[in-house]
Amino acid sequence: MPRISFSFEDLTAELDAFEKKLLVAASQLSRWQDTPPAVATPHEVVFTHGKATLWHFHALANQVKSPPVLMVYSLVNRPTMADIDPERSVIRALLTRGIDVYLIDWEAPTRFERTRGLATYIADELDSCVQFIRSSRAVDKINLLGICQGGTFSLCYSALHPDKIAGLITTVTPVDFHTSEDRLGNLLRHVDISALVETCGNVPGEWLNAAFFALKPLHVTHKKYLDWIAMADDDAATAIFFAMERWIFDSPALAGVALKEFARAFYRDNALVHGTLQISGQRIVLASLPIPILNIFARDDHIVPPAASRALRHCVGSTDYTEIELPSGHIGIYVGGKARNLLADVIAEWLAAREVLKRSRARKAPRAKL
Amino acid sequence: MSATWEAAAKAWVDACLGACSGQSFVPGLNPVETFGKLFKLDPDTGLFRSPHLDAAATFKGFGNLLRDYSALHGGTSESPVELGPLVGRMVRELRLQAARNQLVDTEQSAQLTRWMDIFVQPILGPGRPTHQRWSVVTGAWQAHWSATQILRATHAAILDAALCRFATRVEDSTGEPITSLRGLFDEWVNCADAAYLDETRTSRFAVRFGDVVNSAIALRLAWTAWLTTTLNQFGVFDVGAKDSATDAAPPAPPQSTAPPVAEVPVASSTVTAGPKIRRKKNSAPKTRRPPPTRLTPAPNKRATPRASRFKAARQLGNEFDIGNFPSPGRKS
Repeated sequence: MPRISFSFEDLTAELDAFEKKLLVAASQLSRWQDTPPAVATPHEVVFTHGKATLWHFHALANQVKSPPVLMVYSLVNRPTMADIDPERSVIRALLTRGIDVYLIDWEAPTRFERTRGLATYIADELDSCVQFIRSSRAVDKINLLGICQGGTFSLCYSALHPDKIAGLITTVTPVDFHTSEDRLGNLLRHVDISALVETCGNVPGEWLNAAFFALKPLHVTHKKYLDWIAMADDDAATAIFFAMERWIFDSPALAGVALKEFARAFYRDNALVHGTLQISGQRIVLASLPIPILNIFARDDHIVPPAASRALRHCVGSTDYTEIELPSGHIGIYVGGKARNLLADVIAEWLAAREVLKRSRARKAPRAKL
Repeated sequence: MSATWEAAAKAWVDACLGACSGQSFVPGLNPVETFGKLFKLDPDTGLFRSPHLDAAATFKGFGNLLRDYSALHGGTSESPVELGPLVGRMVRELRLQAARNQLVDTEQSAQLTRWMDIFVQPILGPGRPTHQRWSVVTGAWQAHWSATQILRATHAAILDAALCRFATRVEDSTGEPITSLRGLFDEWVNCADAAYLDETRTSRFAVRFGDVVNSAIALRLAWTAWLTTTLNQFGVFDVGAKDSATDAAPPAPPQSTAPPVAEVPVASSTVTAGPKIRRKKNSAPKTRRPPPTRLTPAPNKRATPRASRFKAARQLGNEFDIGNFPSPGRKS
């Protein structure tokens, strides 16, 4: 039986139908283009330091007795992806499971701040946020939840300050940057990042987006939009689509020196895996990381291949290490209909099951230490 | 073969090459123009220019090609032909068209490169200093053009591999049946991205991609240096020079302004007011980034004495800042 089983008549009818869909899509485009993004979950800004703004989300259910969770987002794009829509918000899903959630929003550097390095982000600003939560919530330790590059930051921070971390959750986090499937690493391997940064200062977000698009060009520039045109008359689906588009193109510039350091230390030297990374003069040794770790990655991730995340298993010394592969893509793990709830369930169950929570509660009494 | 169909096939192949190649994704070419226009009206035509419609145009172009190709081979609404065998043949025709396009591109590229040689060759006479400055820029431009053409040839090879893979897939009777034009187009997208993936994994591709980006950086540096020198010659002093003056002193290292842990109140879950602790009820996430920090207002050229502008230019060591970016050679 031939593979192509539609007729000439079907073809002409489909082309006519597509023209009609295109008209609907064009009217939706004019209707949605100026719609401001919705605020999914109520929150308040409780602390700022440098480029870090700490958001605290309002509880939506009785909170479980566990240390709060601090979500550490990547420097690429904005953290609104975790709370893009009430129906597709991982943060909301965590809140409804009784988890107390904080989130760091990294503001874009100005051109005078292009010399900001990774140490400023990790050892200074992330640390300040952790300290603030520990103090304001009167807990010894908190949980860290890192997203993508934010997961790498969280790993580094946990290695620097294991005494402040009850548990570490990494999601779609690159650890081994030299895996054979890492196409982004391959694209960047021969780019002179130092010259790029010296020429441009901060690296525009559009360029970073372009690099991500180049990993799967036709899916990103064609198939995705045709999928939307096919469902353009569905208002709910269109709302989600435009929210995602806004998030994708709302990409702040990256501090030049931070990018250079990241490219050198991680992409070129793979320093996290080799144990040669130093931040603020302190060596990052994952092998001596004593805290419980939950490592979640996406099966169909083309930006951070599963192998790059899975490498964490061989790097950490923690005896309490769990890894879970979810059937999703890099972004879908946070906004996909099923994957999002699955992710929240996995995190909530892992947090509830950790004995570290009990230990944390037990240690909560002698607060004088703080 | 109909000339109209060939022209349409050429246009479609070009569009595919542009999309499949990622040419517009390379920094220094036109990434911002391509993607920054999302949700924006084109001031010239008043129409939307967005990736949505580019995708739609490619899809429609593919459907129209198939319809026209069927018509060329006797298919009409009254006496439709069977599309199955036709699609494979059409894709092979497209492959030939892609190869012809590549030949034309190569010839045009070679001619342009030869033409640019006149700026690179040394000359004698009073125009020599100016010419030398031009030759640096032109040399950088040629290097970038050459790297771009090599990458473009790689992309053409990827397109050829993708079309070859596509033809094989549609003629393979063992796969899932394709019941619509959209299904057929999705098959094409899968084949193209798979062919692209195969190539981008190689170190050869990494080197070629790196060459394009690095040469774009070198071109930008050369162009900035040329502009700086030329502006200096005319004593032109712009806003960027003010920024450069500020940049000359390295920015102060970030200082922690948060209160030390010991100073932060511990006992209550309610945050008390502190120097850097803000509490805003029901605040919405920021939708707009704050404007770039400008330490001092932009200089008013009318209010700035001309002599002082020259003086400032000299103090800057003849370095100017183009746009919002640092000048070449400045240590950051």
